Amino acid sequence: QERAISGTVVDENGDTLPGVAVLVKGTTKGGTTDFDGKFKVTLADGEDVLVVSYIGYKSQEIVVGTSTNIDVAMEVDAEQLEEVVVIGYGSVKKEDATGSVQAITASDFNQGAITSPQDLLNGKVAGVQMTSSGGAPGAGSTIRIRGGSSLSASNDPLIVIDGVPIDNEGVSGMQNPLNTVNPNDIETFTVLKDASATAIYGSRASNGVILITTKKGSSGKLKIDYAGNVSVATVPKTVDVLNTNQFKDMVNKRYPGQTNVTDLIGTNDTDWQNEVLGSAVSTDHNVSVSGSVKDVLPFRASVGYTYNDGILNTSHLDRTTASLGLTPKLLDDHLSINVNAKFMNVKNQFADNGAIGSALGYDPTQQPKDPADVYKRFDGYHTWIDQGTNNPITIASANPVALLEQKDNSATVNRFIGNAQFDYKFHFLPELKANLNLGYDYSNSDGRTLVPPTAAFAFATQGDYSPYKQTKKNELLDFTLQYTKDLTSIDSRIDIMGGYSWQHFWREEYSYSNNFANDQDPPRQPERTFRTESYIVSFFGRLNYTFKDRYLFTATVRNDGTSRFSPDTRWGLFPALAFAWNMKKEGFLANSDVVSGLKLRLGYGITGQQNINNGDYPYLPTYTSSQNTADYEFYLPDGTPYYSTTLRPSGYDANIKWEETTTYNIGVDYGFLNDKITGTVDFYQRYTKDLLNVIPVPAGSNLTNQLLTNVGDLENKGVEFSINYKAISTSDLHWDLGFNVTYNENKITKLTQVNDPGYKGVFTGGIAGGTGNTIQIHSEGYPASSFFVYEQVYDANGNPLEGVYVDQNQDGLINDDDKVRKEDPAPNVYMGITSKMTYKNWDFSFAGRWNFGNYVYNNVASNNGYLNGIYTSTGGGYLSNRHADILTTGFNDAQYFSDYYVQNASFFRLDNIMLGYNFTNLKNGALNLRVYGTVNNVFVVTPYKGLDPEISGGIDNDVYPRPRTFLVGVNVGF
Amino acid sequence: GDLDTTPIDPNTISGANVFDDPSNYTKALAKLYGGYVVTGQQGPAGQGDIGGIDEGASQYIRRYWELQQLPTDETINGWADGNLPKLSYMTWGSNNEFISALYSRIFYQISICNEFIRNTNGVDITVDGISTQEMNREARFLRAYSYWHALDLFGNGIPFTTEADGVGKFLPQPAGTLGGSELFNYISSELRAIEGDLVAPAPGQESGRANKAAAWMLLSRLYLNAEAYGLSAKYDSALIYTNKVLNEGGYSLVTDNQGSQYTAYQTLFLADNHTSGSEIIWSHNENGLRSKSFGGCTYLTHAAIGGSMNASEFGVNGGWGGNRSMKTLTGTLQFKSADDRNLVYTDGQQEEINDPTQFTEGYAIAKFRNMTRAGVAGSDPTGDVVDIDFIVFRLAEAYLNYAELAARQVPGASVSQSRIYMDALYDRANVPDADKLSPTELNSVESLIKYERSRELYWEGVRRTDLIRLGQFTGGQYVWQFKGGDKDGVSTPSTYNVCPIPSSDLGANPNLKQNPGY
Amino acid sequence: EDPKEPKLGDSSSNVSGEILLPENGSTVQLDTANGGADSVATTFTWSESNYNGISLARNYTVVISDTETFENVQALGDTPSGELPVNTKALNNALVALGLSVDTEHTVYSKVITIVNANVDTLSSGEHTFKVTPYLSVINYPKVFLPGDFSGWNNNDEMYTIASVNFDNNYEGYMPLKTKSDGTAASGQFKFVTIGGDWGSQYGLPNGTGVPATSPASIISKSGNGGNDPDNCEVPTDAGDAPQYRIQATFGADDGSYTITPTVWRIVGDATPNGWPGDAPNDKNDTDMTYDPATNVWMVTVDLTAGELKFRANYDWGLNFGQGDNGSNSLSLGAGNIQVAEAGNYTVKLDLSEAPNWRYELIKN
Ligand SMILES: [Ca+2]
Ligand SMILES: [Ca+2]
Repeated sequence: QERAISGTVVDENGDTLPGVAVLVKGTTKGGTTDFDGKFKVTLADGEDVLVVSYIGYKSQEIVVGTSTNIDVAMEVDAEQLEEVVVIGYGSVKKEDATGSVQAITASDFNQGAITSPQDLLNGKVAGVQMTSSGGAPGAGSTIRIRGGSSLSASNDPLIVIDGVPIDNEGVSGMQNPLNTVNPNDIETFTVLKDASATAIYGSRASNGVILITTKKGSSGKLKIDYAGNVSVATVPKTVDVLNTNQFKDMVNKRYPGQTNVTDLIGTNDTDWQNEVLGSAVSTDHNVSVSGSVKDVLPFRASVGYTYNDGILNTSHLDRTTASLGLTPKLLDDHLSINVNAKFMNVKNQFADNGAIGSALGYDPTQQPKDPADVYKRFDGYHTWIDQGTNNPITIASANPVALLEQKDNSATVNRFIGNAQFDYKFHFLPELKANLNLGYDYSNSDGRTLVPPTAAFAFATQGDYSPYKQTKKNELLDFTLQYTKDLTSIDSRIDIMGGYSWQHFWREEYSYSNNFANDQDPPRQPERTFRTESYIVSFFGRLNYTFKDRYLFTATVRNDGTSRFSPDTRWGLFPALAFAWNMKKEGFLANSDVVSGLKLRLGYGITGQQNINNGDYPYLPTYTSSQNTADYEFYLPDGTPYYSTTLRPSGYDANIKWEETTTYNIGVDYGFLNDKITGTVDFYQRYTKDLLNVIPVPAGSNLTNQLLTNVGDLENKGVEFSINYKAISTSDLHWDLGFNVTYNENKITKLTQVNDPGYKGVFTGGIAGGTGNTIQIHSEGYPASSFFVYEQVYDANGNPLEGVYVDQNQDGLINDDDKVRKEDPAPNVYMGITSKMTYKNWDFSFAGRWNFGNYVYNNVASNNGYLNGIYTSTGGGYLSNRHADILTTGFNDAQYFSDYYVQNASFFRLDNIMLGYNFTNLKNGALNLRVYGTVNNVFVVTPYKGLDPEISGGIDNDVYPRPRTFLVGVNVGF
Repeated sequence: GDLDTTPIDPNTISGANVFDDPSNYTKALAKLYGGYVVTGQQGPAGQGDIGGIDEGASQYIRRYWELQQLPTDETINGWADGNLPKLSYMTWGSNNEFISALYSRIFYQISICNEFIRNTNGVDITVDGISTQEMNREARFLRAYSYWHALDLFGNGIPFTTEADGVGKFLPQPAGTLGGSELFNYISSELRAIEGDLVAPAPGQESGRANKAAAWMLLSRLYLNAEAYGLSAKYDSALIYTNKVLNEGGYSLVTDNQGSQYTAYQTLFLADNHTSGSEIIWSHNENGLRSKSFGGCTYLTHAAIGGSMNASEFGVNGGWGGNRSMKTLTGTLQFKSADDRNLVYTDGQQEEINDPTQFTEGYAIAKFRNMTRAGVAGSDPTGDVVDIDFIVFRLAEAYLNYAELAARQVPGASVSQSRIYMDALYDRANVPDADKLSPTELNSVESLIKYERSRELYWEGVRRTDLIRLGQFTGGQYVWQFKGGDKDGVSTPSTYNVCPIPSSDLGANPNLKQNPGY
Repeated sequence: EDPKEPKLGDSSSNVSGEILLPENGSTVQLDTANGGADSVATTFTWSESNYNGISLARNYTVVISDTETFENVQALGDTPSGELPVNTKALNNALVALGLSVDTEHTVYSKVITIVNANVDTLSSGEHTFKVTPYLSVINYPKVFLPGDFSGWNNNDEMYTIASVNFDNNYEGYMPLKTKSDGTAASGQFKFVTIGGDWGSQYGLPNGTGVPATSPASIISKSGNGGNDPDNCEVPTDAGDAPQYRIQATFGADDGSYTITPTVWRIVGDATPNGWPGDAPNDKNDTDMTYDPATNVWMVTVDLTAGELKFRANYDWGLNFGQGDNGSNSLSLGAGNIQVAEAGNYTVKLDLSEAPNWRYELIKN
């Protein structure tokens, strides 16, 4: 007698688990769970046991007994979890990985509230530091893996999406290269940190590699998912400036009886920051469909739409994404094809960030729109008027509201990334596999700035019409052959891979500027089309050798050729070696109940850098012709001018070559108590030599004063530690905690070709205030971009004394010789914590980060915090508000170089908290519903006195404030 | 293969075949002239020529003018830009970014001249009616001109390269040691070698191109200042070349304002000064639409406007409120009574300077105006960039050089001739007879340099050189407000007669030696 | 770490540097010989001021006073370093400016003041005394330049100036108006220039005056003359030819006058070979001197006895010089007799080159 048994399979969190194999023991009868984790099997007489198995989970045998409905809770199998990690040009069983590799899978992501992919990674991986460039919609992030290994050249990691290394130089009109991928489509992030792991990417791997794989379709029933949310972004904090009364008092006190000054005071009470910043509502919707066409063509397609208003008024982003993944297997499963297509359309409305700065300084006694007649010609916006010319005072700051409302800067970006991967297992030799990957990355940006001639801030230029365009085409061809063989006779396994890669980067940019009417001839900036390209050609290979299942050797070599260097220097050979010892498999640990995993890893490798941020032809002599606004004026004998185009020879270094970074890494992966506790410790040292660096070239020796060349050495040393703790694991309650900490030390060990003790270093870090002022320095023996400042002296009450600095060399004078290198913007220690708790249908999670020892130069305070700036006489005079810091300092003049403004910006930020609820068995199991609420950027604890301590580069000026966002979302599955 | 790329940018030409197109010789030469005017290939900013400094502030003449004027008795600037105040105070050090920007500009200019000379040596074709050999001579002139800047400002210890050196990152040797004669001899021999092959003077015509008279003027300046470079006096040579300008140049003073509201003297500093007459021997030509920068006369015009000055009367859109004069210029030195050259602006200004950062302290100077003689603003409708050509050499300077040589009793220079020249300057400026030079003044080198040159040439970028020649730039014999950083002025060490070699170049090139005192 | 570092203590915790040298109570000698005034009289040194141990850019100023209470102070100079050399002349000027009488020993109070800037307390050391005897020093009298044919029309040479000894706009000086330095004849024409080197400040005869017959002659300034150069001044006819002339002049805003008196100087007195002249007019037993127009010095070598002497011009007591009060070699018009302590053969010099610091010398051969 047959009986039908049905049931639901859930994972350790209680979520339904699709695709789980449910078989009748001893037969091939059965199937897999559907999208909702449901299964139905029919048992014949005498059949009473089901085998339920799923990768990553322990197989279970269930005795059916008399039940007709059985719910199965799967238990994670620690030995199988994350069994496979993606590495460059392949994947490896995690237990066989020899390099420092860390993967984050979709299940580790905090669902919801994520609008950009990098947020998925933020704070979760030791050694990876993310700093978003601000709170603007679609803002990008600076990603640093184990500190920067370069000075002038790129410090960004290589990002590889579905096997296509993308050009992360950025797409204009789109601030974030990662935004190409809808976060909802991401399956895994894998971070390759040490050279033994990254060396397979050779010349582009010095700053680590991030591999992203997107979700794929699977065979089985059609599955539809919807995820949507609505959020409100709020302004967490504004800069403390003088309020209207304080401002009036200050002007009256400083200019008593000077009516030419005090008459400038208006009668209003305007909080300008309030006028430019405000809460913003956004929403995000994603639909994905996955399944299989006729069981031969698994697919996944998704569409996403984001509507994102920024908290700086008028800033806005509209994003539409679409992706399609096809994963058919042909030829008796010998040929696997993996086709991915991602498309994105972004419409950005950029607000002028300058409005943030001018909101601080604009006179609070004025109003945004002033009905007085004089302002009519400026559309009513208040502006400071030159009493001589009756035109706006050019050096006074612009009305921030006008800056937002009268400037229209919008851009549309279309980007397509597609690749097709063919993986063929040879029929006659199944150990041999060939893989061909063809990729294409195309983007097109089209933007323009439009300002009417009535805008006072663009009065001089009669408004602005500035279109800009960019097109990028990057092409990729990779071909690899892989041979894998178990040599059981000698208890060994070999895995040999060899490959060839060809990549072409092509870019065209267009720019133009004219007045609003577009009728000025020649235009302010004539049409200019810029075009460039580069190629990288590579040969690479990897040998994995496993002995006795526990001694693992990896040898990698890559030979890269770049078109950026001359034929003599363009080829670079980047080898790496790694050894791992899986100690758990040794006899002395095999039976340990305490130690559930222990692996020692040793790695060494050399990686390179050719991403020079300085053009594609640094070794070639080139001549650049002038725009017709930079010509030279000659005269005909009758005095008529004629204009000659000029041709400029550019500086070059015929011998420029690879920057090389040598990395040593020692790591231990551990697991205790049946993997209740797992984690990793890594020690690393990275030495970069022949730094690609822009340095002052000996005068007279080249056609420039600053040349990109190979000079100087840099080192990074550090320790990373991560731990994951399954604090509670019962059928109803689960609590997982993750914590990671990184210590990194960066030091420039050599900077110049010659040793000159009087040479202080390369000044860097331009600040607002004056022209050409810099606050940082690259110096030998110090971290890159150390602050270079005077040591402020304080009075007995701890208030800074204006103009009183420590005379370091005790010569009685204060000059550059008394500046000291003090602190740097990089944190010495950074940590991340994640927590995820589920109770029945509820889940609660949060993630936060600490940074320690990162310092910020508070340029907002230094440039607005001095009293003399309250009134400027030019053009008959105008007033400017001041930073409330003057109430403490009383500075009369700007003290730009005081270390008072170099402030400790260590912080703890609670990045997000989330509470969710899963409705199960809705509509008879056909509907899956999850509802959740999230707060992003919950709070920040910091001694830093500015708005936000997290400042990429360490100079705080006009940063778009990061909003605090409250969000509710829903995920629905059919 | 694929890796052998060459530029695909429509505005970029590979150096290997740039001169396959002969018209590129003309364009490359134009860059050498443009190097004194624009700061990059985009105008007014963008694709800058040199790095490490705000592009607009890297302009050659702006930086040169500042170093020639701000440390002197004629000019003060109040901007809090980095170490800029130290130029006004004569307290700069070897890390001064403004000095190093000028140094970079000078050697950038020399390098691109070397490149052009290298590419035209042995090439003899005619392009657009000009032979490449003629172009080659002009490039050698420009190189000598910039080397003279280097000598005058930084001394004989500067790195020395010619077209024989390549392009790379080698370490150039210094021309010699400070006070040596190597660079001086090089400049004078170059100028004498090419002088004959340059085009003839073209009074009232092309002032933007170097001709014979430009070379003579530079030789005149060079020899006149020989003692300041630690060499023996060469006044007799100075007279030879001054006389060539005076007698063979065909130039004449601008004495006709052509019906303009401005005086004849003022028309030299207007937007259409290239048609003011036949006084200009050589100028760096600027144009508000086609040759744009934030330096040169654009800077000189904007930066001099502030306080109650009406920018529209200067043909620009606003003042930058930076440069003013001092009482040493407006009081002690200058204008006895009526004098067309007196372009001091006093309305709302006080002559005494207590706080250099306040534009209203110190009288303003209304010398450069982006207005045509007809009273119309220059060509840039936005009022940003001016049309005024920056005059390097004009006949008046030759007159003053002659008068000084006569006062120095150089054989062949007569005081009676000098009287004629000086009276011409006075007559042009409508100075009453009573205020003209007395016979004694005509005989006094000090009175000529300290007073007369200032009255005629103030704010034209020659003051520092003049004061050094007089021996009163440093030291305590002559002080002015904020000399040495003191309100009333104090003695300064003779160290400041030459500028420091920037520490960045010392760091890059161990063959160089810092000038003493830095 | 505490970001509020380095921190100054409250005012009371700052410690002023204290003067170490010259030693308290010691005597500072003012050595007027050997180049005198430009020699270093004493070098003040002091301990460093301490601002809570923080090295600050600061300036030390040394001040002196005649009283312990420092009501009346003079600054001797300032320096960022720890010592200040003070030269004799500067110290003496400061002492005189304090109103201290010359040639008398005084106790002077000194202290060192430390200034950082307006935002940091100025520190003052304890008082420190020394003893010193000021001397009489040269005073900067108002002067008018007198360029002329005789001097090659040099309008900026201290040697050709007349001075107002009483600061009363009455100027006086002695010049060889009709003799050039090489002894050849000069025209006698000259001008007055009130600002050295500046012909704009000249005074001369109104245009067309010609040679005046007698003194005083009226003069006019360049600006008073409509900006035109006035004519050269002339020696009035009645002054005749002489090796040297006394020039007296007064100057108004745009006009003035001058008087020319020819002068021939001689020595008289009981120390001289011919003794004092009798009271009768034109009793001419004066001893002749010879004149050097290049140096403007009169000189004679003569045997003197112990006694007294004076210089007089033109055998007339109307114009005579006696012992001045500005140093032992100074001369004043009509003053007391000059002492000759010891008999012997002397070279006697009368130096009228630097008005009004007229000097004599008695050099024993
Ligand atoms: Ca110092
Ligand atoms: Ca022009």
